[in-house]
Amino acid sequence: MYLDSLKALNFRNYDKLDLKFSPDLNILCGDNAQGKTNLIEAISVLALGRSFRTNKDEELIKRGEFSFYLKGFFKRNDFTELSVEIGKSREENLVKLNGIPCKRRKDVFGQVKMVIFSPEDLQLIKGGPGFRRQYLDLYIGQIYPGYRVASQKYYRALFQRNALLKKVKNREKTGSSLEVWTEKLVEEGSKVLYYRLKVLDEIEGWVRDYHRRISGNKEEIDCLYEWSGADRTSTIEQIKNGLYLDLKNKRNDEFRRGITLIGPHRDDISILLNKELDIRNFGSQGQQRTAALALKMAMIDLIKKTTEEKPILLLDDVFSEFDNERKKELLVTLIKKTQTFITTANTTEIEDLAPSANQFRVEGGKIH
Amino acid sequence: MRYYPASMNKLIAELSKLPGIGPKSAQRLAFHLFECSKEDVARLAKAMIEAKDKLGFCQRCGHLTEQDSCEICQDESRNHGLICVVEEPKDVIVLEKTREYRGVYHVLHGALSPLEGIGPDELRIKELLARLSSGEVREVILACDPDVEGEATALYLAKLIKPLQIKVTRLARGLPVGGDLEYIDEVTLSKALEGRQEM
Repeated sequence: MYLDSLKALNFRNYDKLDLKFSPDLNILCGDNAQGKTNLIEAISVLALGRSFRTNKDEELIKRGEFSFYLKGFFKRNDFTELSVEIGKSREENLVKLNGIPCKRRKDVFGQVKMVIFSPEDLQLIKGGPGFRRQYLDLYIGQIYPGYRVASQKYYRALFQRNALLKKVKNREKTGSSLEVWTEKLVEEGSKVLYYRLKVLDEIEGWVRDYHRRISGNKEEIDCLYEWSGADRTSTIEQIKNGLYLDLKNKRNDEFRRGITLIGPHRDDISILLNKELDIRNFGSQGQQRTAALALKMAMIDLIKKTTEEKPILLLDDVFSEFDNERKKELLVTLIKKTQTFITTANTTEIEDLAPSANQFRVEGGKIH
Repeated sequence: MRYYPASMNKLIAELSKLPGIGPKSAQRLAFHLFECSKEDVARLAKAMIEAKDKLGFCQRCGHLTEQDSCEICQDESRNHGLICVVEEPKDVIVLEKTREYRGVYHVLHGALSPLEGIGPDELRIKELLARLSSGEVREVILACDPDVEGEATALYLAKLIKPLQIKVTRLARGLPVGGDLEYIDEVTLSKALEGRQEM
C-alpha cells in the first residue's frame, strides 16, 4: 500500500498542501523547525486516526485558525483505492473512508499499515513497560481487528473492576459483583494475551536476525513476555485458566490496595542480551538503539507476512542515528521494498539514496 | 446573559438543563417558545405536567405506565412464564416493535457499572428474583446491551438464576459490538431473538 497524494488545510504550520508522492522513496529536507515532522504527523493521522505526537486535536490546528482538514489518497497492492478524510473544527469531527462518513476516528485505525521510526524509539528499550505495551498495541492492532476490540473491552472491564475494588476497599460497597467483573476481565484479557504471545513468538526470529546482522554477529537477543501464567504454545483456554488463577491468588492484595494487580495492562517484554543480561539495565546506548531498531524492523516483516500488504515507512529524523554502515545497508534494503518517507536536515547523509528519490524542500510551512 | 430580561434568562437556564441542550440551543428554543402562540405553549406545559403526574413505573416489571401495572403485564394472552430482562424502558419499546415476542418484561433500570456507583442493589434485581420465586416462570431471556457493562450484568443474573432451575438464555451474538440496544434495527433484533442461546 502507498500514499499517492495528500491534501491539507490549516494543519500545524501549513495553510494549504497539495502533494503527490512517489510509491518508493520520498525525502523531505529542510532546516529545523520548518515543518518536516508536521508532514510526517499528517500522514500518521491519516493512517492511524491519531497523531503519534499528541492526543490533543487542538494542537493540530494551525494557530489562529479554527479547524483543520486532511485528505489522503492511498493505493493498495490489489489496485483498489482508499481515501481517508479527517477534519476537526470546534463543532464537529469529520471522518470519512472512501467518502462515507464514519462514527469514530478509531474506525480509520488499521485501514492503512504503517511503521514509524523516530528518535524516541530508544524509549522502547530504555523507557518503562508502558512503551513496550504501546509498541505491541500499535502494531498488533493494525493487523488484527479482534485485538483492538478485545483490548478496548479489556480496559473498560478493568476500569469498572478497579472502581469496584476501590469502593470495596473504602467499605462503600460489598464485592458481590466482583466475580463477574473478574470473569469479563479474564475473558477479554486472555484474548489480548493470546495475540501478544503469538505475535511475540512470530517476530522473535526477525528481531534476533536483524540485531545479529546490525551487530555483526556479535550478539544474540531474546524477547520474553513477562507473565508466567502461560507461554507461546498456550491455547486461549489455558491462558484464561492461568490468568484466572493468578487473579484469585492476588485477591487479598487487591482488596487491600483497591486495584487490579495483574493482567495485560501491567505486563512487560524483557529483552535479554546473550541470554542473560537485561538490555534495559546492562546494554550500552548503541546496543539499545540496535535492539529498538530490530524490534521496529521486525514489525515490517510481520505486517507483510500477515496482511500481504507492505506497510508505509515513516523515518523521522533517524538517519543520523544510522551511524554504522551495516545499519545503513540494512535500512536501504528495507526502504527499497516499500514506500518510505524520510525527513532530514542534512542531505549529504542520504546522498547515495537521493538520485532515485522524490525530493521535497520544506521551508517555513511551504513545500516545493 | 445579563442582556436578557429576567424571565428570558430563567427560561434559557431551565432549557439548558435538558440533556443534549447547550446554552445556544437553549437560547434558540427560548426564542421559539416566545414566538409561539400562548395556546401552544400552554399545551406543551400541560403535556409535561401531565406526563410527570400520570407516568410511573409498573410495579411488576418496571416499564413505564400510567397505572399500577403496565399493559403488557396485564395482557393475559401473553406468556407470563417467559421474562425478558432489559436495561431501560426504551429497550422494551424496540423489542415490542419486532412483534415477535409474546412474553413479558423486566426492566432493570441500568446495568452494573461501579464507575457510576451502580451495583446489584441499585438495579431492580430483588424484584426480579421475587417474580421468579412464584414458580410460574420457565425461562429468562437476558437482553442487556452488548457492551462490557451489559455483558457483566447478564453474567451476574445468569449466576443468580441458574441455581433456581430456570432456563436462562441470552440474545444471540450478531448484534454490533459496543452499541446501544435502542439503536439497533428491528430485523436484526428479531433475528437475535430467534437465535437466542442458553448460558
